[in-house]
Amino acid sequence: MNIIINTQAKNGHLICYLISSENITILSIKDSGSDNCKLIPGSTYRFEWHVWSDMKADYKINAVVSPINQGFPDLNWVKSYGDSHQDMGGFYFSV
Amino acid sequence: MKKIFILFFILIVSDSFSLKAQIGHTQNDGPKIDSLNKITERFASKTFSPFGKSSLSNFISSFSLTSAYNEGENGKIELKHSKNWWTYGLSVDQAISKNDKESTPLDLDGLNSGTTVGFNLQKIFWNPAVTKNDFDNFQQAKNRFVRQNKIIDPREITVSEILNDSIEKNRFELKLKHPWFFNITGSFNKTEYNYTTDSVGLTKIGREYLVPSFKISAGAPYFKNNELKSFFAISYIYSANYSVGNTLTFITPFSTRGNYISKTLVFGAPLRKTDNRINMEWRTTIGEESQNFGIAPSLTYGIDSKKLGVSLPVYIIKGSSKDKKPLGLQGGFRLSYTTDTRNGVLTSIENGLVAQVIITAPFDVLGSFNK
Repeated sequence: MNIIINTQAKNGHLICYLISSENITILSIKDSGSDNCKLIPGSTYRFEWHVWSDMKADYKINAVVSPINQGFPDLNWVKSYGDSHQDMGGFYFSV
Repeated sequence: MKKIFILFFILIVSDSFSLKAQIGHTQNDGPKIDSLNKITERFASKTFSPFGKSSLSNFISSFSLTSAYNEGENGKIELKHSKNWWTYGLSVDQAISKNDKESTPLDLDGLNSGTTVGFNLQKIFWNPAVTKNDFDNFQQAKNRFVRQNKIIDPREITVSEILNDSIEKNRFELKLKHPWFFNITGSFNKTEYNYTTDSVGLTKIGREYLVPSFKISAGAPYFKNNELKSFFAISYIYSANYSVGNTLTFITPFSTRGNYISKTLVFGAPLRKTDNRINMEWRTTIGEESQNFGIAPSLTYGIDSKKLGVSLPVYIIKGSSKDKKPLGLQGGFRLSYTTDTRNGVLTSIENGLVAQVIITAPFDVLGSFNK
């Protein structure tokens, strides 16, 4: 079972982490990029992202698990910031 | 095709740094270290400085013209490429005006005379992953926020949305780690000087001089309530420049009818000087986005020159238009004060204070280079 993460950052900086329950960073994607890794069924993971910019910026994060899994519906996070900003988001999940 | 044309332009301008005799216009004191960073549609940026000293490199390519009172006009092209939080830059700065009048004594913010080719390398350091404890607190606040609001996908809720909630902002707090920057800039300036060493024939000599400069900077933005408020940087600068003597007017007779001709020349070859400087800079903007103006006070100390300089640029920043086009001319003014520290007596305000009005016109012709 794989998770595939795609990120886009326009006029800003983004970093997206996939962290294991042992607090080990499995994936780290910066700005606009993509990566993937295998997931272990039953394990709990932390999906976390951070953004910042000194101006208005647009971000996208798309993450899918293949094959489809109820523990992780497709994620399609899209957000625009109209001024300088620093922000984060994230959640726990298990497949 | 556009890329090829601009790269060709850069190669042409930067070609041939060998010394050779030429006839040309008189140049003034040596090159300024920090060429002015201009941004086109980034004028709404809270850390943007149209023409002041900038320890933080622009992240995008740009082309601009700048005119500073008593310093002349410069055109500058910057090409930038960013990847993986590295920014690589190449710039060409060309003096346009032929009659540069003055140079700031401590070479603070200012325009380069002659032609300057520079390279820039910048790295962002940022590891904002929060602790498990902080992340759990964030999840708890998010769960409360979700219960109070109709949320389609709770996974997409961010810290800023929770903090915008009038109830949660008093119950939840999370300090996010800020990035910091490291910047290396190197440049070579080619400037032409005309002078004479022949007090009889007043034969004019024109020579080109190549001087290097080097700067290392580190800086970080300051956020308050997760909103960027200001930027602070500290830099070390090595610079070399040539100082010229006073311009003298020589009157010599010619013919047998009592006629005279006059020649205005600098007597004596320019002298090379170097300086090591420490600079601290703080930048912030004031006001709402559409009516921003910014200040960037800086303090510079020349270790070799024993000079101390204070600069206060004030930028008039306008946001881009609704169709994201820059609003054209941007301007401001700069107050600079420089004093010698050798004798322990401060230079008088009359002699040390310089006030300039500066206007920059950005050209958004390099948008295709920018990501």
